[in-house]
Amino acid sequence: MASSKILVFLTALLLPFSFYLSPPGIHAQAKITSPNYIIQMPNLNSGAGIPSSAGYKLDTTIGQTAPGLYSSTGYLVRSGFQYIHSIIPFSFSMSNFLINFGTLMPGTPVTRTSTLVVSAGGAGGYRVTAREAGYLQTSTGKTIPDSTCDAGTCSETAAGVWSLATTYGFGYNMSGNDAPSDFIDGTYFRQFANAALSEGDQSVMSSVNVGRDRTATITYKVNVSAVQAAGSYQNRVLFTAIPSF
Amino acid sequence: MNKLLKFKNKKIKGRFFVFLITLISLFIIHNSVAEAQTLGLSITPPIAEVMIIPGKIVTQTFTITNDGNDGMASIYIIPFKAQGESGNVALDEKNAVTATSPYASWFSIISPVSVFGEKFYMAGGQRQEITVKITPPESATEKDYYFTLLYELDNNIPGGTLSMGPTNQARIGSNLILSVSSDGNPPKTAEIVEFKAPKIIDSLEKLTFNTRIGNFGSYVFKPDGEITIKPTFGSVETLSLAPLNIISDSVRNIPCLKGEEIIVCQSNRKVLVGVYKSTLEITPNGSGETQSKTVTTVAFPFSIIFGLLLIFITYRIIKKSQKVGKESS
Repeated sequence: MASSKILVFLTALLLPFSFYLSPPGIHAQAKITSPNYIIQMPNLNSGAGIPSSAGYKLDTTIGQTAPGLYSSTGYLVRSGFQYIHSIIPFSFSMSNFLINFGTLMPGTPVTRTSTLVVSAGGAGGYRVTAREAGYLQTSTGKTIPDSTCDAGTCSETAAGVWSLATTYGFGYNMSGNDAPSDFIDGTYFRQFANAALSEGDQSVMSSVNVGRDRTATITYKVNVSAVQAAGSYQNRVLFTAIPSF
Repeated sequence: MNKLLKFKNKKIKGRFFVFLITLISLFIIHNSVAEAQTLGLSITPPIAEVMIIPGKIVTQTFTITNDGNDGMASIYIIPFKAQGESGNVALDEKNAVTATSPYASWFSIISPVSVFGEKFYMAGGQRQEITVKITPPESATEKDYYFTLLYELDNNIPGGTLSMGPTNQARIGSNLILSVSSDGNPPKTAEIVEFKAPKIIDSLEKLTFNTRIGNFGSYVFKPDGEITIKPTFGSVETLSLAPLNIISDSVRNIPCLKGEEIIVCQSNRKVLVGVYKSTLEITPNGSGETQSKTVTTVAFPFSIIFGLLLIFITYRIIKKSQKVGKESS
């Protein structure tokens, strides 16, 4: 009997803590009921006085700019895409921005992955590009070069097979929605475009279509030789996501 | 009875400890998950098209969110040009708007900071409005100017973290199409660079078109256009072009529009037999000079005829071999 009372007491004590295990609140976008294509005039900001009907197309009712109105106000603004009535803000996310390969053993490639997700509600789709600031390097300037893959032919613009443990360097693979077509399978890798060498950003995801939650996986790979100097090698990779105009 | 009670107590105790251990494990796992370094940005609207008289002022508000970990945000405005024919931008980062750039007097940021590039704190889950004032000078040449407003987020790296590998950073853009015009009705010229369909097609296939429209004028336009397919037999079919922006000095591959969906320009019906005349007609923004081009496609039942021929030949071979068999027996 005493055991039962203790059991009930302890359960009552611990039960409140179980609420902390429920998932954190998800930040939801506020539902916007105005059309995505609005005409903004002086004293009328984007949130005020906009009809909420999904079938309302301002371009068909207002049509061409009224010359008198334009010259008196001085401007005309259109935000969004006129034929798309649902509003999907343009968004980009990455599952983890800090990539840690851990301690590297010579001749033992290590891979790590991140998940990239894009939502593009605008006409014409989007593109995500990437570039690295420079090679992976230590604070004393020792570097791990970018991989040229097994045949020595891969670059920042063209992927190649990298499967040998005797091929060294740093590179990445893309797979999933909207990934570039030269990543034929998981053995194909590219170098990152290197800003220090004035190499232009390269596309890692792109689409010409409207899409929600387009998901791709980026796999980072590094392999070092026995003569690689010891140290903590780091660099920065910049991802730029821009919708089509 | 006492033995039964003891056994029941033991069972209860056992279950309680399993429950306790599960609770503690979930608590630890939850905290581990909470430490994952996520990065998430969003911006709206994804595009703003401004037509403005030189010397006038307009403010445009963008809403950004940080959907990941806490970080330091900064805002830039960078000119762009078209890259390729799919509406992608090529940023001219060397000419980003700064205090000394040619466009320094055109743009100013009103909130939440007062200088482009100045960092401000954004907590995870935070939404922020960015207000930008646009003032092309009175002396500005009347034409289009194209910019991307970039929102860059530098996530906080937990203290004591020493990683072996890359640290990722992200930035997200919204395009700004600025048309400087004193009358609000600048001239726009569209050109049909390419309108292609197969010259010969097999019956029961669908007609697919490739349309490329050029803008060699000074102002952006959206093509207002249709493809009309007239067969020898049957009714006319119409496809609507997607009103995508074609900025000045660029060519864009234009797909078709069905409802709110961008689709390949392809006939809904399969072709039968005969001559199909397809005409593309476009006007820039629904006004101005109409451009048109017609292509002709001949539909012929190649596969059907080939199939029938194959069947006939096979039949003849079988008949012949049956005849030879009878003669030899």
